[in-house]
Amino acid sequence: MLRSVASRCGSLMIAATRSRVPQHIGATSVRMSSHGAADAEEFDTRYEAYFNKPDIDGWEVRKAMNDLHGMDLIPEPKILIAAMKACRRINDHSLAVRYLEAVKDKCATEEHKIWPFIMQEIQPTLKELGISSVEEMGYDKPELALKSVYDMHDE
Amino acid sequence: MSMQIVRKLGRPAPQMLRLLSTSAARKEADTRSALVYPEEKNHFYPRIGDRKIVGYGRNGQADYEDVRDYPCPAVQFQEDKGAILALREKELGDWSALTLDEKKTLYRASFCSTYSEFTAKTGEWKSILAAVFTVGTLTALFTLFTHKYVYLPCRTSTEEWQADRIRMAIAERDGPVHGVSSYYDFEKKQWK
Repeated sequence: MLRSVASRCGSLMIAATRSRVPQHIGATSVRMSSHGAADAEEFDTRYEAYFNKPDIDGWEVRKAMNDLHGMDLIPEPKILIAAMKACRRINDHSLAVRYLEAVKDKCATEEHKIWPFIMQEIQPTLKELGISSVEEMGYDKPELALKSVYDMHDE
Repeated sequence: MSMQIVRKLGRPAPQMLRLLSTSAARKEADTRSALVYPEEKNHFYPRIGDRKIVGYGRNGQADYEDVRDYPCPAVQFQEDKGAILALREKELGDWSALTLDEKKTLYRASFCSTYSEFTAKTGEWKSILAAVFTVGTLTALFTLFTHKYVYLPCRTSTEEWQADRIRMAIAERDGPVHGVSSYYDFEKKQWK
């Protein structure tokens, strides 16, 4: 079972880093090939299927999220929906909010264009699962402050 | 560095140490545990205490880190004790039943800061600019002081010195083509 999990993880992590800036939401092509759109589709389906694994556990969800976040793309709404459902299966609401925050942060300078669209697409799923959005949690603005270690003297 | 938290699924172990609560309901429903073997226990747990290892994290070390690039740290931020434990039980059920405060408490139990908090601007640039300007000003003041009260007047800027220098240049035949000597007629011993 470990081998199948490992090989599955391995096949997911074939993706090399891409230097192209994402010009649109969703996956850019994983491999250098002439069929860019087909590869993007395949990438989306793979990650969606990964998150949709019925007996997925916390470790796998987190690993996939960290890996996805490291790639030069903003995940398609369908991948996000699958991730939210995976969080529900592992009973972790905070992780769902964390990942939404991460995707919002990933939008960077294009946030005003991309984030409303993403929210629109995943809103039904969030309602269905009872996940509060980043704005509803109040986490779109800082809530608490952490003292910098560099400002701690004689403590 | 050599020790990394690993998934040890499907490998039978003589002794398994699961960091979970003792509640039976949680044992069935919880799929977040990581198995840690006794030999690794002493490597990780003195640092992280009773906090649960939940994933690979940034690099396989059992650290909590708030990093933009790695949304899911390896370790939960707080220990599953007391009120937090009760909330985790509640989390197994319908999330619409959780109040906003409960959701926030759960978030802070798993994470230290939110993305907005640890990516917030610090305004450090003002301190840096202030320091740069201070040093610049002090340097300028010191320079003015030394130029006025320490250094002797510049002796090469007097007419006499310059005239003498030109005389020496002519005598040495400096710049015969395009320079000083080209302006001097050596036969007639006068300026052209």
